[in-house]
Order: sequence, then structure tokens, then C-alpha cells
Amino acid sequence: MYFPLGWPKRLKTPSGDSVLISHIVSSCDRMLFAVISKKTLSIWYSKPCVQIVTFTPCQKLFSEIGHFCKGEWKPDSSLVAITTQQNVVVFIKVEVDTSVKNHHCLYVMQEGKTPITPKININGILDSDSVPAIKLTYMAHVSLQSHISCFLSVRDELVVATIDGCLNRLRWTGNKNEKATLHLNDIPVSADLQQFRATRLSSGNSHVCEMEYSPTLGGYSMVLSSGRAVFVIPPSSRGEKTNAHGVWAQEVNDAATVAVNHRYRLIAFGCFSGDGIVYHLDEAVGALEISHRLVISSKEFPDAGLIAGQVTCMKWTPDGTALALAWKNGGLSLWSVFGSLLLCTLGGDYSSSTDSGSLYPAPIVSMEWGLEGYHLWMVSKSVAQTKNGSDPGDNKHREEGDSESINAETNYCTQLLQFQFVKSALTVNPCMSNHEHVFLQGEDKLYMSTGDTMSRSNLHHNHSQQQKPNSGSSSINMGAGYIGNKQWQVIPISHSYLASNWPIRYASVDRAGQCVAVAGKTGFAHYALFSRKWKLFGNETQERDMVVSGGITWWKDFVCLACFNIQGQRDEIRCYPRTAKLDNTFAKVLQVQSQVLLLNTFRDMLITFCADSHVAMFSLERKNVQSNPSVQITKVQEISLTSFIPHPLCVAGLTLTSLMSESVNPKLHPSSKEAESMLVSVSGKLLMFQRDRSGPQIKEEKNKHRPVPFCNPSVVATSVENLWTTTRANVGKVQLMEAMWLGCGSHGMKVWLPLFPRDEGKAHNFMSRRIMLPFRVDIYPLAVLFEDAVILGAACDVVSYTFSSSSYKNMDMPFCTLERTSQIYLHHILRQLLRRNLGVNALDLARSCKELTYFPHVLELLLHEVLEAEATSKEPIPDPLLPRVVAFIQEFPEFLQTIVHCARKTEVALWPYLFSTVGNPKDLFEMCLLNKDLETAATYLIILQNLEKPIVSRQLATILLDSALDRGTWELCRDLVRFLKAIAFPSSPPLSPTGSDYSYSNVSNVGRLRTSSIVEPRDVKLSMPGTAKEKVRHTVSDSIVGGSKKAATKSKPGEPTAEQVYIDMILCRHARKLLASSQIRTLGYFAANMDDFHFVSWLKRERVRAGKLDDFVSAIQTVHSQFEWPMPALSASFLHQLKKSAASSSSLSSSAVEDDLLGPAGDKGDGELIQPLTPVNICKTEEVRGRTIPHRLSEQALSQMGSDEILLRPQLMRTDEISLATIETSDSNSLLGDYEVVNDSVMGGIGEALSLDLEGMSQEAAVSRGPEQAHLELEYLLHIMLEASCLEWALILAVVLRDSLAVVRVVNTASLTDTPLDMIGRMREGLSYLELWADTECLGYKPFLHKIRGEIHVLSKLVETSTSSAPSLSLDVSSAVQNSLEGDSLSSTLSVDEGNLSPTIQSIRADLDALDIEEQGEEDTVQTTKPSDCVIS
Amino acid sequence: MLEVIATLPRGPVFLAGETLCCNVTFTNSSADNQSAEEVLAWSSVQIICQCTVSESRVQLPRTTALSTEEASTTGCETSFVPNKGERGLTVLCTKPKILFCDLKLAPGATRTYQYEEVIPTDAPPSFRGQAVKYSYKVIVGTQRLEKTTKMVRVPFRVLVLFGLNDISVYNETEEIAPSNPFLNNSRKENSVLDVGLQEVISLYFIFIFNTDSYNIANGRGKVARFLLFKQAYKLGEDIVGMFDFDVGTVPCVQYSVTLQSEEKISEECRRKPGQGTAITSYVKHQEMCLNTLRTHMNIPIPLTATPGFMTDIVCQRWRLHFEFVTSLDKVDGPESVPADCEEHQWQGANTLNVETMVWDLPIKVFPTNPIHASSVTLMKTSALINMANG
Repeated sequence: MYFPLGWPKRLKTPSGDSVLISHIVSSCDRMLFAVISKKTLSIWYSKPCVQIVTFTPCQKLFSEIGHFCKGEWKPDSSLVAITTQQNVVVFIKVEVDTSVKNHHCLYVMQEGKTPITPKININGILDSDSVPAIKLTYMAHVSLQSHISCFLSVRDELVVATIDGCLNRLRWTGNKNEKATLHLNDIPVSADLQQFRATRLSSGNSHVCEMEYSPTLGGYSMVLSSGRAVFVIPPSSRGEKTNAHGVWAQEVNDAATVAVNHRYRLIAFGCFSGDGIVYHLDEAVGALEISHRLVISSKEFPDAGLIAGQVTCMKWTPDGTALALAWKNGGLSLWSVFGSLLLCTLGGDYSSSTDSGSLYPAPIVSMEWGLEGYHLWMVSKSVAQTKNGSDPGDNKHREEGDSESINAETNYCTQLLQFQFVKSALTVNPCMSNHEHVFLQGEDKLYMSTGDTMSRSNLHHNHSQQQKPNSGSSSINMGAGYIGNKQWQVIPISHSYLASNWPIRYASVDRAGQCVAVAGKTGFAHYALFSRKWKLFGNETQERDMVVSGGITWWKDFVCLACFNIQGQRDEIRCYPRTAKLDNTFAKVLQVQSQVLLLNTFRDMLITFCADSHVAMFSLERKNVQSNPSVQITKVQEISLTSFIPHPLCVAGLTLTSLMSESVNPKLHPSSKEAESMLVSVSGKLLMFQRDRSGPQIKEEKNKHRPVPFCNPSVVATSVENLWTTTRANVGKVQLMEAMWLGCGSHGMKVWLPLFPRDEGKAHNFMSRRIMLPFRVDIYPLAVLFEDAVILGAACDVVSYTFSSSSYKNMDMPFCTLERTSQIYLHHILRQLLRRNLGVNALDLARSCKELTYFPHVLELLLHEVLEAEATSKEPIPDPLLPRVVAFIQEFPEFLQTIVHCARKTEVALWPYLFSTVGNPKDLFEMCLLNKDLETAATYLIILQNLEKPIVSRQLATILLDSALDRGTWELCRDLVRFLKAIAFPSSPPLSPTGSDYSYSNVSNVGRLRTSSIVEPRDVKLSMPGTAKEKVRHTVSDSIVGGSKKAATKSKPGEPTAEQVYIDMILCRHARKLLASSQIRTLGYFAANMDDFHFVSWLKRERVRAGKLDDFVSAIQTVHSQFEWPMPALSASFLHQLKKSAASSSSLSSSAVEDDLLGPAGDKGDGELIQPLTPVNICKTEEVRGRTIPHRLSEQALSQMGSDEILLRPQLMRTDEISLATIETSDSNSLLGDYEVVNDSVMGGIGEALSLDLEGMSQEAAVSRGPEQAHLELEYLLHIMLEASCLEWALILAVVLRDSLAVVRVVNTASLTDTPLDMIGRMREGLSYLELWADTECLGYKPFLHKIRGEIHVLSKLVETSTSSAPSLSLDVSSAVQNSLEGDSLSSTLSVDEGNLSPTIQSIRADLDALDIEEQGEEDTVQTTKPSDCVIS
Repeated sequence: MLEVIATLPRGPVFLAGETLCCNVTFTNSSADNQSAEEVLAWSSVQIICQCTVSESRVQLPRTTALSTEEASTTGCETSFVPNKGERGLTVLCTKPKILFCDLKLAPGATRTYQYEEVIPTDAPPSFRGQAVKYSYKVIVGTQRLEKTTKMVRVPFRVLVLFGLNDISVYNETEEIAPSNPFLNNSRKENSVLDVGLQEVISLYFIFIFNTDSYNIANGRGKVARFLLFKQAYKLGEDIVGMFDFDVGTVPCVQYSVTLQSEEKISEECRRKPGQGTAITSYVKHQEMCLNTLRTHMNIPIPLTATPGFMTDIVCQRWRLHFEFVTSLDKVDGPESVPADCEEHQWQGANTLNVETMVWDLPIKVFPTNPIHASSVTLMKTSALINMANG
């Protein structure tokens, strides 16, 4: 298709009134342009764009005939006829000026003394940059009896219409052909050719305003002065019809101008209303029927008709694939053959830059397409104020000359402009491979969209790797990414080729998008993208000897083309190998008897359409016998289409395809199918010729290669601009691959989709139907990516360059660029299928495309479009599609997400309709929660917020917040907190969410301020199972709530609001949960991400509650695992010892821990086993083994009677971490005491030395820390814990960090501040257990604990001093500790579980716990002394 | 049979400073289930940049890295010498990363490893000049037990954004890093790609509104006025300029604009002292403008070109080369013919006495989004070797 590029080029024309240009008309070959002004005729050359000659008749003649008006060329370009104001037709001869030297060329450049380079002239074809010299001679003039309204050059005659209603015929010699003169009133006109009641034209339709003749339609299309339009078939010379007769164009009575498309047999009328109507001739009845209308929709530009005015000029492009249309008040539009709007310069970016009112471009008086449609020559009329740059004296001089006309007309001047265009290669060369790319050809450049080629090569690569499991999905995604890539790849066409062969007629790209070939005036050239080199004919004579006439295409490594051999004066098909030099010696040449008009390939077939209306098929076979590859062309079949086509020119496309109207079940057919049908596009009507397999099969026996004949054609579709089929195969997407796509201009696109039967079991069912589904497209389609379910296209985009200098103000016009567009089409098809009750097929189709990245988007679009259509429909819909669509989407996991995204993008008013079909959004919300899709749930929340009462949305938000906190999705948590705040105070600006995409409908919430009475019951409910301590907390919060109630009612600033308290409560609860379950890393993230959470102050409050820590060992272990912090490692020898002991204890879990401990250093450790195992060591370990087993047994017995204190603790953890760690802990703890004894007795003497050693080794080990991030986090948490005097945790962290100074700080804090005694007690105890644990399980900690021995001592001192100060109370204290312990453990356990368990279960657990603790208490006194002993020793 | 495939999933173009990611897949492709499992001793990956120079023009200072000959003689057959078999000088060689040691693959089994390496920001760009070439490759070396080392090479292209040295500078701009380490994780690091593109954009803004107007004149007078809307371009962009011949007093017959790059060898590396710069032409726009008032040019910068850069050896600059063919005599238009009563005919001049004047306008060319550039670079993004049993 055609797209403008850049700015229009402005050409130099003489200024002044006498040279106001009235008309421009090109010669038949479009090489010469006649520019007619009042008094002159100028001839311009197309390229280079220069003026050749200007002819001015003498003044005397002008006074006789009047000024020039319009011109027409004789078809052989030897004469120009010009009409004048006074009923005269002037004939001016155009001939080459042979007096001019150097091959009669003008503007030959000579630089210095170097001789002029002679112009090359082979076969009478000049170089593209040489300008032929032309002289004009006045021949004759003919006067007519009446004023001339329009005239037309038809074959060897001129038809001149005069206002008296006559159609006069003039010969080019200047004689009238009086016999052939017709009068309009003599022509009978009817609605169609079959009607007898034809009427003569009344006097109102007095004369012809505009007319055009089309040989393919065989008649004149005329616009009458009454505004009616008529198609007149002239009297046939063959005699069957002796009289001319006409057919009315129905429904048009304000026609202003006409343009006829020969190739597509269309008649376009431009109307006074500013619209265009395009008719086609119904051959059966001979009536004109409307094909489509050219209307600027109000979306494009409102009131186009009023502002732009009537249609003044319309011109079809030379290839008939686009129509340029201009209006009276300015503006230009471009339409594809069947009515897609390609360009409209009304509104948008085109007019905004200039001062208001004037349209861009200025009103076009006359226009004409240049060669191959690369240029549009326009004569535009603009107000003459811009000429300040040119000499004003000149103007004055002219003013004197013809002063009377100045007043009337000199307020405008004319400009000659040249708009540049690029066009799709499909317009003239619709071969298979061009259909697979967005490939555009410009005057000197080729544009190719890069994305699709890349994705192709990727996909191709993919196929080769299909077996490999990993590569598949990722590269498909990559491909999808490239589809969105809008970068053009611009290939400049070889300058040396262009210099002699401008313009490029045909361009072709190969399937892979790697090689391109172009053919210009003569010869051709090709280019490979990978080498970035053009290949031209080495022998220029060979290049000049051939003219590519019927297209050029790629077949494998060969360029196949149809050409005319000038030397041999014959038509040929040639194949040139790409790899060899470009020379005829490597080419395979096959002569054909008639000119080839179209060329295409299908697999190894070459198909041609010739000027004699015959289709010929050739098989291509690659031969590699010589050093250079060659191809063998064998003619397979020839079919005459004469009876099916009106004119060979009308065939716009020719394709072979494997498709059949009844698609065969893919399972039964191999992937490489034969050419089953031939598709021929005749003037937009798509004919399908299927192979006739019904005939007797004897033929095949006789001759294997005998081709199967074709059936008579069936019409598949009309108004077809382009069609896409593919020869690729993809087993997964048969439905898409077997489809055929049609571009139908304003009728959108159509897909001819196969419908495969569901149950393949039935034998008779193997044939299936096809269905034609139309759908809208917003882009102009140029390529269909079958597998990706995407259409690619191009569009014109506009860039505004601003000019700083004021003198360029009038140039402030837009610069046109090319844009690559793409569109997903899958949802259209799915919708159509669902509408037709073909849900099964829709499902099959959708499932095959599930892996596409934009598949969720497709579902969303599907739902959205149906919803919009049905919810906004004014009449009730008898059979709504929405339920079906919803049911369809439900089949996919993206269901919930699709619904909510769609809802978000539609108006609130449509929601009830949507949810009445989909179901209660609350249920959907809960489904999201169940599916753990919190993000989607959050989106539902916004919907619910608009539909439900605030209380409900608060409730749901709270639930969501809880799960979000549990999942640690902090972003979402933050948003939810903001949300919770905002729904209570929608009007307060600081609380309104900023930066989030949440939209709140404020209206629904105004005045529904939540009262705190709602909070309280909920609050109570939450904390109901709490113990005494919990109650205390509750009362505290309650008082805050109470306070806030007042605050809310009195609206006192500064007080915490009820909302704030409510949120704080949720946050605190979660924080407590985290802390109590020792998840301090998560707590760190939580605190950092929740802006409303005051970490330190909360910790201060919690340090004696949730912050209390009883089991140091498991705490250390969980910290290690949370932060991925390696346990301190020891040297190999020690570990070896440890292993032995662990093995002896036969505890699988602990040995596993050691393996972990070995970690990264483990491998190296094996090599560095320095310390040999001494007999002592061995015996020692044996000792250990010997002793541990009985002790384990005794321990078990002990735990039955009443276990020690530590055994209980893991129950706190059990709810969250059912990990090995807890089991280990209990195991090891129970071992501890005895092992210590063993250690003492056996190791005894070496103990001291060992500890020294250990210290040294731990120095090394200290280097192997965990990740840096974890380190920072630990340090930060340590700092926070210290600040909040949450000393137990601080101690743990200090130990994990092996930061002895921090331990000192912790101990100091403990001693200095009013730290609760029980806390110090717990710390000391904890440390003791740690030591025990280190001795048995984690020897790596031993050196560090050894190091902080002093601090442990200090701690025990602290405990002792406080106990000794009140010795009598010691037991009480411990019992108090027990009590508080009990309470704490309960509360923390409960806080973990609250909300999850029913109160009864909780109470049961509480009872159990209490029991345990009592038992513990008994044991306590026994245990306490032991650890302290160990410490001292 | 053992198959090694190395692929660059992102495409073959990278911006220096980016992390290159390469997937290396090892497959034991022997179909026979009875055959023994393959044992690979090790595999290691490295990125190298080879610099090849034209000996007649460039003299390299012998201080830089080992030349290939030296390097290849030092290593025996079984060691990993990434630049073995490569020509020229290795100017960049990342530290080898070991993918595995002792990999056992049963028949039909496949293992994929991901290799990541940052391309240093101070690396030279991929460049194919007339005297100097820089080419990058990912080299995967693999050795089967007791066999010689085999290598898979994946070529790729590096774009360098000059002035983009330390990425951290761009990341610090936001605010002072938060003291809470727990927030660090959530904060998004600026990727090199983003920063690089931002940089390009900011450079853009320096030049974009700077519409330059040039009055082109020769000894006899004014020829034309030329408007250029930008001085800096990204690869793949169009250079749009407008010519206004209306203001000229000297008739201009024809003009041409050529996009050229200049490759200049640094002085210490030149073989001959007077050695000039090598010019490469890319796209030419030519037009006859005798009867043109106003026209424009639209020159695309090839996506495959190398943006301007400078290394110790070579420096590349971009320019637009203009040629104006002006007439020495006055060229008469049709209006020059006196408007008297006689019939007359004006015809264009037969010969034109012309002179050609040239002008070079330097422009800046920056890299573009490497993903865009990937889409046209037709480099293969994967390489494959088969290691047969031998």
C-alpha cells in the first residue's frame, strides 16, 4: 500500500498571474508531465525532476482562443491537446529535439576542461539521469460550437464534452469525427441493462462535467451537471448494439468528480458532500452497485465534509491499488482500493502546526501520479503572501501588465509540489514471500520491518531444536518481543543500478527475509542482508537487454523472474542463482509464448499468468551438477482462464495453495501437501479453482506426471485486496496454519477458517467445513504471522519539526514517517466462533495459542469487547454472548485475572452487568485468596470497594492484608494499608494513595465514616482468647480506640485516628507473630516495608512478651537458616572427631547438620587433614560411643517422668517450623549434660590446649561469613534490638555475628539499665545451653563462646547478686518467672494461632501447655545448678 | 557423540557494561542406549575481543597483551586457550569461568549451564574498519577425558556508549542509600541498558532542539540554505535535513549527501606518518535540484554500523559529506524569455558549465537499544560443535 514520506518537494515555477498552473497531466508512460498554465505549456521530466521546455503561443492566438485550461496527451506521447476558454482545442506536437547534441540530452554537465561523459544509449534506453531534449510545435486548433466542459483521450480519438450536451469526437490530426458525435439526450439510461424502461436524460442533466473511459469496463463513467452519475456504454463497432446506452449510478446525486480503476473495475465518484462513493459493475444485470464509500469518520476528523468542502480531484495510483482524493478547501486523503483509509491530512498533527483554519496541504487544483506511484505531483493553490523572499519588483511589473485580473485572482498563487510515497511490494508483485514480510519499496530505498524476520529466524531455529526441552518457551517469548519491534531496516538501493534503471518496478524478498531483489527499467539486482552487498550484472549489455515485466520472486537460492528479452524480442522466464555472479551464463532461460503478467511460487512450483489469459505451472528442480547451482524448469500444466476473466489486466493476484474448500483432516494427510487449489483474484473477486479429483483415476496409471485438472471456479470472497496463506506447517496450530486470510479494505479482514470435527473416531467425518469470519482491523494489514496470531502492517506517522527562524513559518508542516503497526486478531475470531456456537473450535484454537505471551491479553480483549457491546446496547439482547464468553474464559487459568482486568478497564456502570454473568466478585475474591493470587485479589478489592459497603471492603482488605503479610508481599501490604486508610477518609488528601493505580470512587464512601463501634467488637473478638497479659494489652489498645473515637468525633488533629489504630493493631499482631516464631529476618523486612510500623517502640513493648526467648539454641539455628549464615566451621581434624561422635550418637539428623556445616570449606578440608588420629583420640571417641547410648536410653526414661525445661520449648516452634532443627535440638539437649561429663573426664588435660587452638582456628573461620547483605541485615537488627533493649535477641544476634564486643554491649546494657531480672536469667541460661550445644553439636561455636566466657560470668553474677540480695524470694522469683513464662508462651502460641483455631481447641492447647510447664517447674530446680557449673569449669 | 550448543538468548548485540548471558547446553546425542555415558572433564567459558589490524597501515605498540602466536605456543593441546586459532591481538579477555568439572552424561541426557559475564564499559566496540577490526566472541572450551580441548565460539557485537563509565553514578542519583538494609532488596538497580538509553536520550536533548541552519555559499554567492534538525543520532535513525534553494543566488544543478565514517589511526600507531584517514561511505542521497525550491534528504544510519568511538589504536568519527554541483553561468528559466507577442519556446540548457564544491559536516552517532540492533544483525546467536568419539 501507499504511504507518504517526508515533506512534499517544492518545485520552481515562474511566479506571476500569467503562469498560474491550472492543470497537470502526464503522458501515458508517465515520463513527461505537461504543466498547463494560462498562457504556457511546460513539459517536465519525471526524473530528474527538471523542466524541459516551455511553450508560449503568440498573444494574437490567445486573443482568438482564450487562455489554456486543460490538457490531454495522445497515448503515444507525440501530441498534447489543450482546451481553452473559448471552445477551442489546441494541438501541440511534442517531439525529441534532434538538433541537440549528445544523444539529444539536456542539462549535460561539464566540469572544467574534462570532456563531457557521453551518455550511454543502449536499445534506445537512456540513462535515468539524462534528460531528453524536447521541442514543442503548434500544430492546429479546432473550434467547437459550445463551451468545453471536459475532454478525454480515448485510443486514437479525443472525446470532447461541451455544455450543450454533446460528446464530440476529434481525431488527433485535428479533424472532427462528426459522425460519431453523440448527444446526451439521445442516450437511454436505465437502472440496469436488463430493464427495458430506459429513459432519456432530461434537460436538467444537461452536460458532462467529468468523464473517464475504461477499457476493462468498456464504457465511459460520467458525472453530469445535475450531480448524477452515469455509466455509458458506447455503441459497439461490432454491431450488436448500435446505440449507446447508459446505466445510472444509484444513490448519488451530488457527484463532482470521477476516477476509474481499470484493474479492479471500480468507478469512484467524488461528491459535493466531501465523501466518495465507489461502484462496481454487476456483470450479471449490468447495474452499478455500491462497493464501498469513502467517508472520513468523525473519529478521524469531525465534519470533514463541511470543513474540507467538495471533492475536487481523485486519482488512482498507476497500479490501481490506492486512490488519492483531495478536497476544495485543502487536505488530501489516500484510500486503498477497497476503502481502507491510509492517509488523511485533515486534523490531527497535520493542521495543528499551522495557523487555524487553513488545511494542509493547500487546496489542490490538479494532481497526477508519477512513475510507479513514487510521487504525487500536485498543483496547489495558496494565498500569495509567502513570496516576500522573491523580488517584489517583478511582481509589480506584472501587476501593470494585467491589472484587471489582479483584483480578481492574484490573491493566490500556485505551487507545484511533489509528495513522495513508498508502497508495499505487494501492490505490483504479490508473490508468496512478499506476503510474509512487511516489505515496502520506495524510490531509492527498501523498507523492511525487522521484528518479524528476527522472530522467524528464531522460530526456525526453534524448530530445529524442538526436541530439546529447554529452549522452546524462552525463544518463543523472544520472538514475541521482536514482533513488537518497530525498527525499520532500510536498504538503500544500489546507486549504480538506480542511475540507469530508475524507477524500481518490482521488489521481492525471500522467505527468510535475508535476500531482496529489485527490478527497474531494465535488468535487476539483488542484495543479501548478511553480506550487505548488492549484486549487479557484470555485463551492462545483459542488463539493458532485458526488461522484467511480470514480477520477480525468490525460489530457494534462485531469483525467478519473467522478462522481455529486447535482443531476441521474446518473453522469457529466467532463474538466476544467488550465489553465482550475476550473468546470463548462469541463468536458466525458458521461452514463453506470451508476456507474463504475474508470477508466483508454491513449494517447488512456479506459476505464471500470461497476457493471453493462460496460467502455466512449472516445476522447479535444483541441479547441482556443475560448480554453480542451476535449476531445471519443466512445464507441468497450462490452463486457460479466458472464460473466467474479463481482461488479463484485471488479474491482481495468483496463488497456488494446499487449501481446499473442504479441509481434509490434518491427521490423515502428510504435512507436505500438494497444490490443491489455485486462487485467482480477478478485480478483487477471489476465484478458487480446485483440483478435480472426481474424474477417472486411469490417467494416473497411464502417465504418472499427468497433472490433475481443475474444477470450475467458485467465488470465495469479493473485495479482496490481499490474501495470505502459508506453506509452513505447525502441528500444534493446524487451525491457524490451514486458515486463509483476506484483506478486504473497508470491509475489514476475513479469515477462512477450517473447522475440524471433534470426534475423529467416525470415519465418515474426516472431511470438515470451513467458515468465513469477518473482523475489523485498525491497521492496514501487510503480513500475517500465522503462528503468532498477529497481523503486521504499516501506517503513516507524523513528526513535527519546528523551525526557529520566522521566515520558515509557512513550512511548519508535518514530516511524514513510516510506522510499523501490529494487531492481535485472535479475540475477534474467538468471538465470532462463540457467536456461531462453535465453542469447541474456539477452545481448540485458543488452546493452541496458550503459550503466546499476549494470550491473557487476548482473553481480556474478548471479554471487554463483548461486554461493551452488550452492556451498552439499548435494546434487550435475545441471545447474549457474554455468558458464553465467560464460560469460555473459565476454561483457562487466567480466568480470575481476566475478569478483574477487564472490569478495571470498563466503566463502573457496566460492572453489574458483568458480575451478574460472572458471579459475585466477593466469591471471585475468595477464589483468588484460595489460589494464593494476592495481586489479583487486590484488584478485586478495588472492584468490591465500589460495589460493596465500606465495612465489607474493609473486612476483605483485612483478610487480604493478613495473607499478604504472611506471604511477605510487602508492596501489596503497603498498598493495602494505604487502601485501608483511604476508604475511611476519602476526602483527606494526604491519605489518598499516590503513585498507585488504585482508583477510588469517592462518592460512594462520603458520609459513611466508619464508627469505632464497629472496630471494637472485632477487636474484642480477635483478642478474646487472650490471657491476662493479652487483656492488659487489650485494655491499652481499647483506651486508644476510645480516645480515637473522641478524636474522630471531635476531629481533633494530632490524635491517632481509629483507622490508624486499627491498622497498627493488625501490623503489631503480625509482627508479634513473626517475633514469637523467631522469624526475625521476615520481621526485618516487615518493619522496613511497613511505613506505619514503629519498630523500636514496638519492640520495647514486646521485649518481655513476644521478644522473650527461652530456647537460645533453636533461635541460633533458625537465625542461621533464615539468613543463610554459615555455622562457624572448625578445622578438618576437629570436624572429623565431631563426625565420629555424631556417628556414634547415631543421630541421622545431627550428622546431616554437620554435612551442612562442612559447607563450602568441606572439600578443601578433606585435603587438609593435618592432625593424625592418635590412638587416644580413637579410644576417646569409642568412649563417647559407649557412653552415649545408655544415656540416651536413660534420657528417654527421664523425659517420661518429666522432661527438662528445654524439651518443651520447641513446641513454640512447632507450629511454624516442623523442621529437623527442632528435633535435633531436643535430641542434643537431652544429651548435653552427660556429654559434658564425658568431655571433662576424657579430654581433661588437652582441653586447655584445644581451646587455644580453637580460638586460632575460629579466627580463620570468621573470615568465611555469610552473604554481605545478610551481614548488613544482622548488624542492623542487632542495633535495633539493642536500642529497644530486647536483649535476648540482641545477644543471639551478637553470637551469630560472633561479635564479642556486641556481647559486651548487651551485657552492659543488661547490667546498667533496669532490665527485668528474668530476662537476664534467661540470657544466662540460654548461654549455658548454647555452650552445651556448642560442645556437642556445633563445635564451631566453641571458640567464640570461650571468648565471651567473661560476659557469661558477668551475667551469672548479675543473676546471683539479685537473687542473693533477696535469697528468700529466690524461689518466688523463679516461680514468677515461671508464671510470666507461662503467660508469655501462651500468648505467643496463641498469637500465632489466633484466628485459625476455634477457642475450644485453643483452650485445650493452653491446658496442655500449662501442664507441661508445671512439670517443667519441678525439674527446674534440679537443672539450674548444673549449667552454671559447666560454665565455671 | 557429544553436542555442545552455546546460545545468546538476548540476541547478539550488547551494550558495554551489560551482562552477557550465554546458555551452554551439553547433550549426549548418541541414540544408542547401550553406549556408555560420556564424561566431560571440564568446561570453561570466556569472552575475548580480538583486534586485527592491517599490517600495512597500523603498527602496534608491543606493550599490549600476548599476541596469538605467543599465546598458542604456551598452551598445549589439552589446555584452554580461548584465542587459539584466532587472528590478531587479544585486547580483552575476561576471567575464565568454570561451568563444571567431571560431568557425566548418560545417552540422551542434556545439561544446560548459564554463563554470565559483564562486558567491561571500557571495552572497545565491535568494529570492522579498513585498517582495524575489533571482534568479540564467547568461547566455550570443553574437554573430554584424555581428548583434546574443543571450543565453541559465538560471535557477538558490542556497542559502546562513550562517557558511560561507571554505572553506579547513575544509581546514586536517586537519594542517599537507605540505612535499612532490608529495603535494599526492594530497590531496583538501574540496568546498564536503562542508564545507557537514558544517557542517549539526555545527549539527545542537548542536540534535539538545536536546529542548525547553514548558509551554503561559494565564491560567487549563496548556493542554498541547509537545515539540520539534530546533530546527534542513534543507530537506525534517519538523518533528516532540508535544503532551501530559494534563497540561493548561484544556480545549483545537483547535490548529493553521503553518510561517511572516518577511521583515523592514532599517531603512534601509524605505519607512515602522513597516513590519512580512511573514509567509508554508507548511504548516498543524490538529487538534481535545478528546478527545485525546497527539498529534503532522509538518510538512514545503518543499524549495523559502529557508532563513533576512540581507542588507543583507532578513532572513528561520523560526518555528512555534501557535494554541490553549481553552475558557473546563470541558468535561465522560462520566465527569462521576454513576454512579447511572438510565439516562443524556452528550452533547458544543453550543457551546463559546472563546478563541484564539497563540504563535510561532522555529526555524532550513538548506539541504540541493543535489542533493536539485534533484530537486524544477522549474526547467528548460537554455535554448535559435535564432539565425535575420536
